[in-house]
Amino acid sequence: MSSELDTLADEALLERFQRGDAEAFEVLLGRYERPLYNFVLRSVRDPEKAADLIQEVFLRVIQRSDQFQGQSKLSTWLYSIARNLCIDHGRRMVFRRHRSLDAPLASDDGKSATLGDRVPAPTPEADRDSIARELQGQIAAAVEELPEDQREVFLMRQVQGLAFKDIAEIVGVSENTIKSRMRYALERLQAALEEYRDYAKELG
Amino acid sequence: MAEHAHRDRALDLVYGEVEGVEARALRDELERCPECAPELAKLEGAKRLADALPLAPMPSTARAALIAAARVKANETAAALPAEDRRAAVAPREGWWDRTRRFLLGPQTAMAAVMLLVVAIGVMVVPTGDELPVGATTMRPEPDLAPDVVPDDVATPEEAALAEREPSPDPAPAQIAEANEPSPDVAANGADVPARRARARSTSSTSAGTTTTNRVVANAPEAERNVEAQGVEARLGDSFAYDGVAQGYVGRGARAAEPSLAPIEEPAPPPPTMPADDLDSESLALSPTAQELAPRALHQSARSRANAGDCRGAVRVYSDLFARFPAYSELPRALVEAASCQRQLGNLAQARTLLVRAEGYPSTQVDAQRELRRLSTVQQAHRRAQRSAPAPSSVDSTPAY
Repeated sequence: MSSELDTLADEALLERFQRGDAEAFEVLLGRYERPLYNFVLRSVRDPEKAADLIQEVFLRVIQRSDQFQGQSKLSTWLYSIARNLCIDHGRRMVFRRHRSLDAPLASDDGKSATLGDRVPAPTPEADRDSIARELQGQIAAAVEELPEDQREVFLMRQVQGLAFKDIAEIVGVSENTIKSRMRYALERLQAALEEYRDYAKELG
Repeated sequence: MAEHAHRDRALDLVYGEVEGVEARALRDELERCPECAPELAKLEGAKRLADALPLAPMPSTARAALIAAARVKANETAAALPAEDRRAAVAPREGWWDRTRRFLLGPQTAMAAVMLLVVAIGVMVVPTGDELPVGATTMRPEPDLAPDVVPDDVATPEEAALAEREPSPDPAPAQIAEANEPSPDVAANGADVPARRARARSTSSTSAGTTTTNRVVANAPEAERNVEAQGVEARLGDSFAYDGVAQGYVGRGARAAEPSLAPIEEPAPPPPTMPADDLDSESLALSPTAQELAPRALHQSARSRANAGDCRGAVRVYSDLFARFPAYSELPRALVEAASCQRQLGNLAQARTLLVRAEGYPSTQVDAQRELRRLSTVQQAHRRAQRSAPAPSSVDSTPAY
């Protein structure tokens, strides 16, 4: 039965759920839970809070599924909900200062060592697995340090695979602006992960 | 300007938003451009790094809570939906094999198998048209049992012909003479049995009409054919005749049922009871013809209404019966019953008319006369009551408000 549901588009699954088919929602959840959770997690940087928010996102889908008119993609609707929740959460948490990996340890000047400097650099003797794990940590940290507008675009495009025009619809800016933000985000990541460039070439 | 446009589209190429021929052309353009090529390489390198971004799984507790909430909502929705929508939404979906298997195991398959079996048996049993004698229909002729019941002392025409060609070693002169020139009595006796059976078969299938009659007659020897045909026609002539306009067989009385005051005729009697050893006549007596089914149904309906006290409704049905099936075999009895209903309704004149008609039939003559006497008594009582009753005054006739 799930195999048949798996072939359905997101919108068709939601329509089934609107008629009382709980399994259709489970298929939808399977499609979106991981990328959407990571989108929220990278935004709020708190796994516990991210779990609460991702539940809130899907609970809104459950309770308000009849409000989805099918005029846009379901993914657009889902990420709009998640983004708004993250923004609301960010506003409530505005007093909290998250230290960036790129932020200077000493606040007196910008030339002191950074937190990223304390991350042990990969050595030629390190095996590939340890490098991969290390790279993943570095990338996660670098993404978290991206500016909010660039990070959300990066996550939607990179993790969820949304098209630039759909991201533009969600964020409410032009597609060119989205592409610019994406380009900046990639440049930042590349700059932050310069030491892994050769490794990245091997991956490619 | 064109180079700038290509540079803007580098992201599309890196993230697969351009595909196929367009993607190859764009890549060629970007790689030939000295400014765009490094940009493209840089973006592709960054993307390879970004692909290594780990994705944390959503907590299982959150997933379980969401599924539970979805099921609650789905149940609420399904309960609020009409039954048909609910079945369509919640019913387990079947694959093509499930649907095929359910169809094959359904009753329609058994019915189709039975029909195929019947057709197969029919194909094996019914001969082709070439095997039938000239003038016969494509229906399979029933075997003529006449030779089986012909008295021993009567030779069949085939036997007579055989005897004529190859005389027996010790032929009895009398038998040979009877076979070659049967006396009229013997011929009549010999033809009577097959003719009687043919009559029974023909009468039992009156809807087939003359076609069936001709078929049966065609199977009989020429000497028997005339006798049989006359017997069949004589029997069929009482109640059925071909109208000659491709209308099939209709009751003769039905044609005479047009609104006319023709003299009352005794309707065709029910099919005569044949000897007990005649299976065809037994089936004939048990199965009413199609012509009788409709009037019998109407008659029963009228009786039911009358027994239930609905005399007005019964009279309507009786009138319908008389108009549509004047040749109905139970018409006299129905006339008496209808007269009773009319009498109960106070329509004494109509009751008398019906009883007078019923009196014309021998089967209901006695009953009709008795009812007429009873009706006369009632009418006299009515007249006496009317004479003794005071004339209504003008005050009494004023309706009370």
